[in-house]
Parts: sequence; structure tokens; C-alpha cells
Amino acid sequence: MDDQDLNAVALHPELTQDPRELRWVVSTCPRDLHHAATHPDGPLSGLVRDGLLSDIDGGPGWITTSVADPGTWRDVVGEVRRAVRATAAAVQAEGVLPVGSGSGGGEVRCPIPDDELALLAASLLQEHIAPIAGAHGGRISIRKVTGGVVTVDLVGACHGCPAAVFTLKQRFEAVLQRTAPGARVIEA
Amino acid sequence: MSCHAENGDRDLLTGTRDVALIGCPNAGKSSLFNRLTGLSATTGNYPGVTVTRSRGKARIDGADVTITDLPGTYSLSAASPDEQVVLDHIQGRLPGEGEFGSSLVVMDATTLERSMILFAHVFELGRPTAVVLTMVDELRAGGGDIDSARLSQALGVPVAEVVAHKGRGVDEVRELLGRAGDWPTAVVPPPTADRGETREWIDSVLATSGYRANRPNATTRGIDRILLHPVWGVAVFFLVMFLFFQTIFTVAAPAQGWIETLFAALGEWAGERIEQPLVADFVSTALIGGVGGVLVFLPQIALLYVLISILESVGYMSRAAFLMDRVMAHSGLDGRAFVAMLSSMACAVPGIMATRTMASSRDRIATILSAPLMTCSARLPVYVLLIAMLVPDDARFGPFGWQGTILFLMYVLGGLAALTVARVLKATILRRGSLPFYLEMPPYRIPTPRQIARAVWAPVWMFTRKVGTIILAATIALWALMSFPANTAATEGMDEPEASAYVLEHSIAGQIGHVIEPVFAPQGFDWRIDVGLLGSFAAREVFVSTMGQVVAADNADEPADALSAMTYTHGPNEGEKVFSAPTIAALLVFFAFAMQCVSTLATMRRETNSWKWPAVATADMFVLAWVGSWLAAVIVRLVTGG
Repeated sequence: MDDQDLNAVALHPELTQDPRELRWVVSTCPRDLHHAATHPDGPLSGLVRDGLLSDIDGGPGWITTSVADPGTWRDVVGEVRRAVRATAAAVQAEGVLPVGSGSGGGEVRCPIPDDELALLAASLLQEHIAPIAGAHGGRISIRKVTGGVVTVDLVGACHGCPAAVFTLKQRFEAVLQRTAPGARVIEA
Repeated sequence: MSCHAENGDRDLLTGTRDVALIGCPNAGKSSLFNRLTGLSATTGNYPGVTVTRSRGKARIDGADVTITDLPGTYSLSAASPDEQVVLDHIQGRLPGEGEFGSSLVVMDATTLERSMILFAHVFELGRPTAVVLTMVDELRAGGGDIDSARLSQALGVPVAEVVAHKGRGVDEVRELLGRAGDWPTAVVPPPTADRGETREWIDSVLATSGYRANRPNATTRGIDRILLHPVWGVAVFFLVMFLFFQTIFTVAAPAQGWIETLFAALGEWAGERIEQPLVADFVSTALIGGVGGVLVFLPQIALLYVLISILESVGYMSRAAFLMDRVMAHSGLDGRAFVAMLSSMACAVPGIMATRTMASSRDRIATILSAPLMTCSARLPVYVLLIAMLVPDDARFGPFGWQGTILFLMYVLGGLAALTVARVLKATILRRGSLPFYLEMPPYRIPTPRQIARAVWAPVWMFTRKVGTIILAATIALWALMSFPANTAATEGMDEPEASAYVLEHSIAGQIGHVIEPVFAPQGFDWRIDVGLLGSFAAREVFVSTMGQVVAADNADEPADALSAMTYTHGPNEGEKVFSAPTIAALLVFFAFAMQCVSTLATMRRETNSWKWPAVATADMFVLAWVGSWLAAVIVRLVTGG
């Protein structure tokens, strides 16, 4: 996806427990989309007023939409897709930052402020990395997030084991970069 | 590269579950199909191998699941007959069938992006759908990755990973098939109308699933630098093909000797026990001299298919197609036509069926008309017999035998003739620009013995069956024509060879041969060869069995020796040997060019839906064969001073 134009918004819908609700994953924009999705002047709020949607929410890299009775997703998905896309595009367009020389230069669309990156890193750590660290009798935790760099502490069996540092840190960085390109993970 | 195990248009049994395997070409559908059903759909490491539907049953939890293996397709836009088959099948538009049940989309993990478009099209149709990811081992080995659990969530369907040719993950697929009716249907169809939206959907699903494409590994890239090189690659291609035919002659010869010995012993045994002279003649002449004479070539045919299947499953055939794409361009056709031509090296029937992947109907007909000129395995027995008479088996230059070299040249001749005919057709009656051609370069793979055994078994069985049906029937018919009227009164007092020569000469076949004789006199063919040619229009191998019968009275065990000694019975060359170098050269060329195969004509008729094209092919190939064989005879006479 590196060679794509910066206006591209990669998104796809996923089903949730609630059959009326769709979770749109915006994989090009890991930013917190809550504000933009629920903003009264936004295109999604317009669809709520038109009676197509009953509910909207948003978070880091995702927007959920619930279809209003008696509609079905087959009828409204096209319009909702365009509204979600416009919302994400607006957030993405807020700025494009050059990436450091570490990853070979280039640009990253939709750069994440440190506070949002911290939230994202914490949830990904909880979901993907902590179980693995725990299985080996260790623990990994975030110390701080500054300038797109996540500093982690390794505790327990992990600490001092070069292999553990290598695999856990690498794994975490890979998972993080999947949603936040350019983010880095270092050991304290 | 053979005809299919089972091409069914049978009605579905009620109460069974019906699942269609859909995927891009070369995604591994047929391998999976074979693993699931135990049938042998032909698989190959290059696109376009499945040319029609194969149907089989897998028994899962005590219930049958009907599985249909559909031809590989990149989309459902129905540009080519193959895509039309897939679309018709899915929408239940084929005769005798209702709408089908569920779709299992087979996606090659190493080229996932392209498979996604097809998935989007299939899922949109609103049928229960699931996904099987193949080649995941290769993806990871090449530094790529995919989280199939995450992919499953993003697509909204179950995803199973499988390495079908090794049998890994097949149990998971079976389990998945057990609940095929409960697979999800699309609540939200993927966007397919707007190309930009499709692109964004694919990017997002793949990014979310942590998809990273593999790089072709260093070995593959290293080998390809040489094998795909415009000069070295072509040199290697011809070297490989040359060694290929050397191997067929040298390796198969001992096995051929064993079969000959076996038939000789059988003949002796039967001769001692059968009292009734007509039955004895039938057994020794028609069965042992005729059919046995064809069966002797089984080792060559088996070896041909072993070598083809090794080259195919290793991945070399795709490279050959890539190299030949440039050569094919001179003929006005593209690499897709090469796949058909390549298949025709085994048999023109699957070759003609392989043209279904071609979207342009003009290109398709040009290919169908030229593919039968490629040297098929039915020509092999005839060539081997004739070449053995032309040069002794110890004639060598350096480490190579002349016999294998001449065989190689016969294959080259067939290839050149096919290209030339295609070129002429494209320049005259079938003019038109061609469509883009996608050719995948699969990574090199080491074939499993199982794969090769399957690939060889089917054609060997088909050959044996052909010997037992068409060839047997034609041989019996010719035996009858050559043995009657029996002329017992006239032959009284003659010794046996003289008597059988008299019967043959005055038989129905002999009289027909004499009538035809002037047609092929310029080539040096006598009336007995003409009888052989007549039979060969049913199937080429019948020529071998007829010649075997002609000389059976003299020496049934070594037909080649007896044929070599055969002399003209009348006319200006009376007493001279019939099988002189010019005559053999003319026969070789005649067999290279003539359309002598009922099955091919029937396939042509079916694929083009008219008798016009089979008629055109028969006529143009006969002209080519007559003129070519005459030229060959003239040239060889000049060279040898004969």
C-alpha cells in the first residue's frame, strides 16, 4: 500500500454481535475517529437525521454504525460506506508528516498524536502481546510514548533474556505498525 | 494434461450437499479436490489445467457432500468460455441442475490480492461462502504472513488454511464442508461496482489481516535469472527438450524389449494350442501382431507423461510458456495458446479443451485448428517404429543417439507446423488483435511422487483403454478385410508365407489398397502401406497394428525387421525394398501433418459447435501431409541418390 495516493482511505465493514450494527475498520487511519464520526455536522450524523442510521460511535481506527428499522444493510450500505469514507478522509487530511530515516523515508498519512498512540498501543499490547508474555512467566508494560516512539519495560522471566526481548519487542512493533505505520518500540 | 476423471452433467442427488470450488487459475483447487474426493483431477503448476467441471463426492460424518471443481477464473465477468462455465454453474443455468449450494473460494495466499476480487464477486451472489487459503507454507517460507483468524473476521466467512499437496489442513476443510449449508451469506456485499471502492476494501481487509506478500525466494529468483533469460533461457529450453526425447528412446527401450518377449512367448503358447487355423490366425495376427504391437509402446507413453508431469509440477512449464510467449507472438497468438499447444504434446483432445481459457474466439479457433499438428503421444509409436527402421539404434554422435535426435526433430517439425498454420489463419480468415495475457510464475516446487503417479496413471490407463477399444475394433476390422476372401482353393499347395501374401493381396483390403495406390505413388507408398494409412485415420496407432498384421506371417515378434525386408510386389520398383529412406521420411512427415484421429475431430466439433472447423482441419492437414510427404520423399531421394 506504500505506493498509493494519500487520499486513499482503506476501509471495510465487519459484522458484530448485533446484527443491525456494522463495525467499519479504517485501516489507513488509526486515529481516534469518535469525534469526527459523531460530530453533528458530519456526514454520518446526516444519515441519522435522514432516518437511515440509528446510532454511530467511533474509536481508534474504527466507526460503528447501526441501521435504523426497517432498513437492511443491502439497501443502505453504499451510502453509509461513502459517509464513513468521507469522515475518515477528513481526519486523514489533517496532516501528513514525514517519517524518519529509520523506515526508509517517505510519508505517513494520518499521523497519530502521542496520546492517541498511547491508547492504541495499550489496547494492542493487552490484546496481542500480554498473553504471550504471560505464557512465559513475564510481563511487558508501556513506560511512555513520545514522538511516535513507545518505550516498554520487560519484567519477570522476560527481563534479561535476549531472545524474549527480541521476539516480544519485534512482535509488538509489528502489531503496532500494522495500524500505526512509522511507530517504533524500544526497551527502556 | 489428460482428459478428466469425471465430467458430470448428472443430476444432483437430492438430500446431498453441493459445494463448488472456485478460485483463480493455479490456486490449488484441483489438488484440494483430489484430496477431498480421492478422484484424480489433473493438476499442474501452470494456469488453465482444469478445463471443465469435475465432480466428486466426499463422505463427511456419514453424509455425502458433492464437490464440483470449476475452472480457474480471475473474475466473473464471463470474458472467456471458462468464466462462463463458472458463472453458469453458480447461477444454476446449466441444463438439468438447480441453483447450487455453497461456494468454497480457494485463494492462493502468495497472490492473495488477485483472489480478493474473485471472492468479492462470488460473495456478492448471496450464497453461503467459505474460504480456503492455500500455499500458506510457501507464503511464510518466503517471509510473508497472514493472520487467517483476522482475515475470517474481516471477510465475514470461515477461513481454513491448507497445504493440499501435503495433505495438511485437509481435515479442517472436511470439517468446514460438514456445515457447508450454514456458511454465512453476505449481509453486506463487498463493493464491486466501483473499482476504487473495491481497491480500498481489498487494501483494508489485507492490512487488517496483517498480510505481507512473500518475496520470491532467492533460489527461485536465481534460477529464473537464467531460465527466463532471452538467450540462455531459450538455449536451456531446447536442451531440456532434446534430453527429454533422448531419455524416451534410451530409458524405455529395455522395457519395450520385455513386453515384446512377453508377446512372443504368448504367441508361441497360443500357436501350439489353437487348432482351428482361422482362430489361430486371428490370435497371432490381429491380437498379438496387431494390438500387441501397439501395446509395446506403453513404456514410451508412460515415460513421456512422467517427464511432462515432472516438468509441469516443478514449475518449468510456466517458464517455458513465458519464453514461448515471444515465439507465439510471431504466430499472432499469445501464451495462453501455448498452454493449449503444450497440452497437445500429450494429446490434442485436452489441448483443444484447454483453449477454453481464451477469451478471443478467433484466437481460440486458430489454436484449435493448429493444435492437432503438435506431436501427440499417439504419433509416438508410429515414429518409434519408423525411426528404428530408418537408423540403427547404435548410430550415435558423441553421447547422443541419432534415433532420439530424429524424434526431437519430429517434435520441432510439429511445433513449427502448428505455429505456421496459426500464423496463416490469423493473417487471413481469423484476423484480430489479442487480449492481454496473465501468466503466473509459480515458485519452483518439488513434486511429490503421489502427484507424478497420478499424472502418469490417467493417460497410461487411457492409452490401454484406447488399445482395448478403438484400436482393437479397427484392428479386427482390418484383419477381417485383410483375411477375406480366404481363397483356400487358390492357395492350396503354397507354403505358408506365400499363401498369406496371396490372401492379403487378393483380400478386400488389398483391393482397396491397390485402388488407392496411385494417390500415394509419388511418396513411394505401396498398397500395403496405403491399407495401413486407411486404418490410421481412426487412430494413428492402428498403422502400427496393421503393419504388424501385414508381416505377421513372416515374423510376428520383430515387425520392424520383417517390414524392413518387405519389397514392392509389382510396378517399376518390383523387388526393391518398400521401406527405403525416402519412403520412411515421407511416412514420418505424413504422420506429422495428417489429421488421423476420430477423437480429436469429435472434440473439435463439440468445442466449435459446428462441423465446419473439423472439416477445414481435415482438409488443410491432408493437403499439408500429402505435399509435405511428397517433398520429403523427393528431397531424401536427391540426398541419398536413391
